[in-house]
Amino acid sequence: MSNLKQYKCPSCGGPINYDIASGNLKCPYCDSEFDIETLKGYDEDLRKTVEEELNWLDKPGLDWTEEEESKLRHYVCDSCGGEIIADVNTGATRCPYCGNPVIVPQKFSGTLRPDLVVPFKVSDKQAQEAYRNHLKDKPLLPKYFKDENRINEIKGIYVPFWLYDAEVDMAARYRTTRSRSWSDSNYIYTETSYFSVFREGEIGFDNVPVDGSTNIDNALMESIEPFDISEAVDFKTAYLAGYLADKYDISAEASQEQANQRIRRSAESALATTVRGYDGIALESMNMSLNNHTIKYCLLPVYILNTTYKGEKFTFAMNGQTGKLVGDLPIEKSSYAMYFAIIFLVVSAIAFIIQMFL
Amino acid sequence: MKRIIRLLLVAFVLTLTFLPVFTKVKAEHPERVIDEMGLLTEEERQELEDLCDEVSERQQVDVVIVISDKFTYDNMVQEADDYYDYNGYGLRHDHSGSLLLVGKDSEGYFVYISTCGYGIYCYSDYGIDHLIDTIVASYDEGNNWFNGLKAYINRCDELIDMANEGKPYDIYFDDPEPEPEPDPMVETAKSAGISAGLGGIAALIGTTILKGKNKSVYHKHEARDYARPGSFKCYNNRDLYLYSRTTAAPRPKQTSSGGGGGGGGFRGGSSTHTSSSGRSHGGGGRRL
Repeated sequence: MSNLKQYKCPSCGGPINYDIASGNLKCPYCDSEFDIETLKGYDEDLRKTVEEELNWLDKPGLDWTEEEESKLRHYVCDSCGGEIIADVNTGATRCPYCGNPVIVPQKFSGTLRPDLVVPFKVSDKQAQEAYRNHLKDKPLLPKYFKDENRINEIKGIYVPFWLYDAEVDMAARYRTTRSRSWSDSNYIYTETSYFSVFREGEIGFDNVPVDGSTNIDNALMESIEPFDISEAVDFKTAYLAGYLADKYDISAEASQEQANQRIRRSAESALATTVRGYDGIALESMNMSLNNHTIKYCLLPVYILNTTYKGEKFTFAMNGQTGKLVGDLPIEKSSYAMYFAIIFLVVSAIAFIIQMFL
Repeated sequence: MKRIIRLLLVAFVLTLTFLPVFTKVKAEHPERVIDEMGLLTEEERQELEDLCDEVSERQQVDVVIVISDKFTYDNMVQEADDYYDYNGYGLRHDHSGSLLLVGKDSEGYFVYISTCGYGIYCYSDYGIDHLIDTIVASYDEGNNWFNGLKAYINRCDELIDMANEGKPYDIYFDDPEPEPEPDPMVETAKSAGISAGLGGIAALIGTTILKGKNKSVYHKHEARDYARPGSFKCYNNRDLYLYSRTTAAPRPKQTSSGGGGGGGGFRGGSSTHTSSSGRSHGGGGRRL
């Protein structure tokens, strides 16, 4: 008798009993009836989970050699606290984040040496052109903002990113429904069938980037994605010539949660695409584990432009590899009101005329 | 010449012979509006009588009104049927027509409409209720029976027309009454309001789109761009049917959305009974 297994009702969660009359298992609380094989399978799916593990093992980066350190200079901005690196020949005259000209050179030391660097493919002239194009076709952009020449301040900077590789194993359980309706002269009947759906799968991710600098807004960096990391090369200080480089101030460990979240969402979406043919799908449980996970420290090429309009700071960023440029623009309130009034009057007039003729 | 005179004489004799017969047919049909309670002036009664005659003879469906305090509420069905049957009402071979009985007792006025022959088809139970509503809507709480009864006769005419077209007024029938003329000022104000509403929504959508052009910075919440191509595999899947639940919701009645005013407790069609004369009658009535 000790081998007898106690199942729980998938409908109400109550303990379920064997019903002699039907030869099935029947819930005494909600009257749901199940055949034994169904409940066995359901119970197996409940237990079949992947152990939750979203940690990263491989540590990125190496230490700088003395020779490399001698070729680099470290600057700290007095105004915003931004820290940048430049090679000794490039020098830095202005903070790329806040535009403050007072940046103090210091002896380079500490921090990890990047594993990889994606070299700039887009020139600063192309960046200027992209910025001009970015301002086009924006009816609500203040004229003053458009007219003023700000593009001379565009500066190329290597932004530190952590790149996460991961093999994801995942198992998910869904509660799904399928409905059908019919009617007679008095009632409309709706039968809803409930299913337990189990899916187990795997997916791999390469080089999911997370910005390792607090000086640059994460949303700004995420907006210029994607970067093609297959074009990355082993880091050499020579790549820094003519450009600035940011120094990471968020560790790989601190950034990993952001990577985990992005990977988790995409893995969940991929698995959910296999659940088809149902009217309603609700995720009941999801377990994931990451295998062969590695983290790389990489410098990615970004052009940054800062400008201020009516006391508000506007920052633009351009992917130095693909040329994609982003940055929120100010809105002229008077233009907004004018467009609102024009659309309102035109549509109202047309609607009124149509109603009069109908 | 003699031949012509003979023919004229024959025609004259024939006319004299059959004229009383035609006159008798017309004269034999009893009055169609009888008012024993004096709710109508003689001029009003006569006007209604003329209207009833015109409708009845044109439609060949009798329209009769009897107002009397001799009727009793409890026996009004039988009394109305008998009055119709034993006073020679009804046209066509099947005695088609209707009789509106207006009575009064200590509790107030009551009305009953008895139908017969083709009249049963013309006036469904729902139609009879509607006819009584027509009287009530116009009779000004008993102060103007003339208006109420005139509206009743005209509505009878329309309901017979509808039956002639094969669509007798019933629970599923759209109310053919013309809607009151809309006030042009109100209509214009309504149109202006709707236009302004549409304009406001369009302006909001339009300016939101324009504002969107100035925004290009968004968080990325997933890593789809970095999924290794071909790496996704679903190697274990199982779909288990668990159980079903069935719910029943009352079916909405067609009349509630048909604009016909609703069927109330009516099932459609006409309910009939047999009067003491053996004829089938339909009918319905209530206190006012």
